[in-house]
Amino acid sequence: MSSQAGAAKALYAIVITTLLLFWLNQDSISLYCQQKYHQSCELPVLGQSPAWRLGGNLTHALGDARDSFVDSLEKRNEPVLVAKVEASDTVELPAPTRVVPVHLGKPPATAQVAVSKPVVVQVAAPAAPVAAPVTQPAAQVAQAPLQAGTVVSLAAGDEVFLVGDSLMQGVAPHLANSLRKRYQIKSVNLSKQSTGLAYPGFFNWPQTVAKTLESEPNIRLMVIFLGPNDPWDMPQGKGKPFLRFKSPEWEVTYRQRIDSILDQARAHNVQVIWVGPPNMQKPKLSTAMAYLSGLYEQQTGLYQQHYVSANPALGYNDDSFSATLQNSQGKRIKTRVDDGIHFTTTGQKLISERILSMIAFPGLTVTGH
Amino acid sequence: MALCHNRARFTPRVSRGEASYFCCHVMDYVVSFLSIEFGLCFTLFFIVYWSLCWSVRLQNVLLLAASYALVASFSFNSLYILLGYSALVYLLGLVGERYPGRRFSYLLVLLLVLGCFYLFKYQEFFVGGVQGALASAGLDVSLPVLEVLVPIGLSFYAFHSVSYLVSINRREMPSASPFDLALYLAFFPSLIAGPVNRASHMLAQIRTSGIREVLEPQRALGLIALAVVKLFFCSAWLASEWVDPVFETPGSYSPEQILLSVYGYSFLIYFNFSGYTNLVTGIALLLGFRLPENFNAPYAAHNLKEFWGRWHISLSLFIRDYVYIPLGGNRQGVWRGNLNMLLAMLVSGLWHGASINFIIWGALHGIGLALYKASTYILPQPMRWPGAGLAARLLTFHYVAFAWIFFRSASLDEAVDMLAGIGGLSLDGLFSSTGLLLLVSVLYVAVYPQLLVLLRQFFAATTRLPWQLYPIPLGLFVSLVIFASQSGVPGFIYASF
Repeated sequence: MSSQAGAAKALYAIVITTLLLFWLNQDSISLYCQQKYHQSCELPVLGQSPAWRLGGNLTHALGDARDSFVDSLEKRNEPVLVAKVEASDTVELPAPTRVVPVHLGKPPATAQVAVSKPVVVQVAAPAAPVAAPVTQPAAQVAQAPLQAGTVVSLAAGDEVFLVGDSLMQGVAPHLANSLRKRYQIKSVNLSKQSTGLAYPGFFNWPQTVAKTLESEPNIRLMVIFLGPNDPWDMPQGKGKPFLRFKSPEWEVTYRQRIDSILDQARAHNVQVIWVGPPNMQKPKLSTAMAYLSGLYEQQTGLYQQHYVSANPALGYNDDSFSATLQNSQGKRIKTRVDDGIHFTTTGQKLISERILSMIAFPGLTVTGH
Repeated sequence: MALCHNRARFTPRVSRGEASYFCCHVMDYVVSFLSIEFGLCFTLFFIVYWSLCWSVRLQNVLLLAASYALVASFSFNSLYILLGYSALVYLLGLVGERYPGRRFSYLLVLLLVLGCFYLFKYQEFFVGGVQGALASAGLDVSLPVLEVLVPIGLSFYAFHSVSYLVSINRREMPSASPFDLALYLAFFPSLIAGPVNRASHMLAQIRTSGIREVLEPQRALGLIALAVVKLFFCSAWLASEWVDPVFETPGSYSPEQILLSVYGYSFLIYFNFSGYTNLVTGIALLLGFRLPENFNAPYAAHNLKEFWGRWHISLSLFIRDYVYIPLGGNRQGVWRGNLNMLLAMLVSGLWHGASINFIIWGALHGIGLALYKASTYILPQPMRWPGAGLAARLLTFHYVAFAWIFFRSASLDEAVDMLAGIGGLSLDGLFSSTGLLLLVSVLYVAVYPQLLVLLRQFFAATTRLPWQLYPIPLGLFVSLVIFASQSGVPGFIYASF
């Protein structure tokens, strides 16, 4: 009958189009699948057949052709920048087991003992509670005439680099606006939803940080705020099994990724404020955040950088969650949106202010606002 | 869980502020409709649905089940609310049929719709406003706020129910069976972000006496491909390159860049919303349903009145028929007519989102419409002097773009920052690379009607390709678009936070 014939024609078109799309975009789709379902997504038999792989390889080759075309064009247009482009393209990330060489690029940190290999192998570290406000390490007090409570300082012409996921996307505009309006400090906001450190195939923060610090020499402070996309098993390479979340191997790998960001900061003499994700509504996610926060805090400590938990800013004193905060007039104001993860504008501003309170601006006059 | 990657890429992922609730949400859902998972599920659904083509009734059962499953996949609470709402609408339909056109029949409809909107969408906004006003008068009052989530699709199925109940009260149609009504309210392609359906048009398609057929299959698939281009390529690129960074921190950009971001947002919101409409229209055609037209080249409009006849058409007609005309329309004199228009546009603004910015946006359009009307008394239409048409289109586009600033900004302060930024425009600044892009944008609007003719011819030509071959260029074209997009598939088929 004509109705079914029409439907069959349409189905034919849908299936052929879908197959073509999957064939050409197989690598992107498998990355997407990895990131979303936290397991390897190879097609059982078809996945290895040369005819199937050809589609993926075609797209790869086209991508390479596009990249080299764009590079070549840029080089011809801006001969002065050649060196820079090349440099940023060949940034080497620390190899997983390399011992980080100790060169204290950051003068004020001299009081501390030289830091060696920052990878602390803790076998299944217990979820460290991170509710208490961070106390300042003694080494930093001697740094400069900083105001009370501040741990880093910025001067005129310095820029701030904002790194993170959608939590940061919420906080970053407030931070950037306040920095610019009050102190005329520029910021570079590259925060991107769905990102973290567990799925570099999807988005590679260590590499992005390396490139950005290379190309933006005025950056003197990096603020990092991420985590909720990471508490999952993570891939360790093609064909290998996924690392189990919280297993010792997972933790070592994750700490190395934190370190590779901190290494870049050290190499470019950039101060770091690492913001620990706050408690979440779902207990499982919340516990995972406390665990990740422990890792961030320990690694930043080893590099004499600065860690601050978002918890105190939202009024959380322990591992409990609340979508509201009691303000000074006794009224409850909403700080979290209904997903139990993200912040309301109020929540974003509270966290932004907490971060700002850690920054000293010697010699800069406050204007407006 | 798809989260809003910022306030308003005309919406996607959890909003950073509550302001652009509507916007945020639309994109959230756009993303889920364009996900790989949805595509695969839809293909399976398509097979089962058409294997039942001998029984429209069974097809309807399947459609209703799929619609409820989709709502439940967002949250079970949303589903319970939709079920409860459908039951209430059914009862009110019976009341309306028994006492058609009576004052209390209409009153009950108004109570249902306003009650739901207030409870689920506007509580915080109104309570906040009233408390603020009382506080400034020295009264510290704490009004109750029930904490409820906005149920998915409420804005649209509430409007669908109004069309249904009013038609019954006007004796244009009898009340529908509970099952047909439930499907009319829950029909998944138009549940999440429209278009706004009319009961007479949709119920007739649900209760069709004949056998359903896939409608215009090639055009349907072409519309879906067009949606991919508009959503992934055009609006995603505009959002990240021209719009989002500037609207977030306007102070860090030059006046020219701020103006460019406003142009960019005007294009973006069109690509985004009309792309979404193309997508659901294509999906509905594949299921044998025709949805009302929603966009018709809005930036080719010569005045605001024409703009609203081309932008979100199904909503404009709804507001006209169910708000403006019941208020009295233009039957009670010029002043009252303009006031009614302003009120209708304010309702439209508030419907888009509960914040002062949306109210300002609505008011700007209301005032703009009144000004246009006043101008027609002075300048006889149509104007015949050379260039008049172009000037009128550019003026209309710029006024609409100006209003979008309020629509997109998260708060009034940010909108003011944007305007202050644009205020610093200088002739020197225009002679720059950004100035060139501004020129390109204006030229684009200028040649838009001619461009449109070409694009439409091209689109029509592709649908004439033989059906056996059609999928190949279609698949290659979509792959090419994905390839040309910034970050490939994972970049936009977002996953989590």
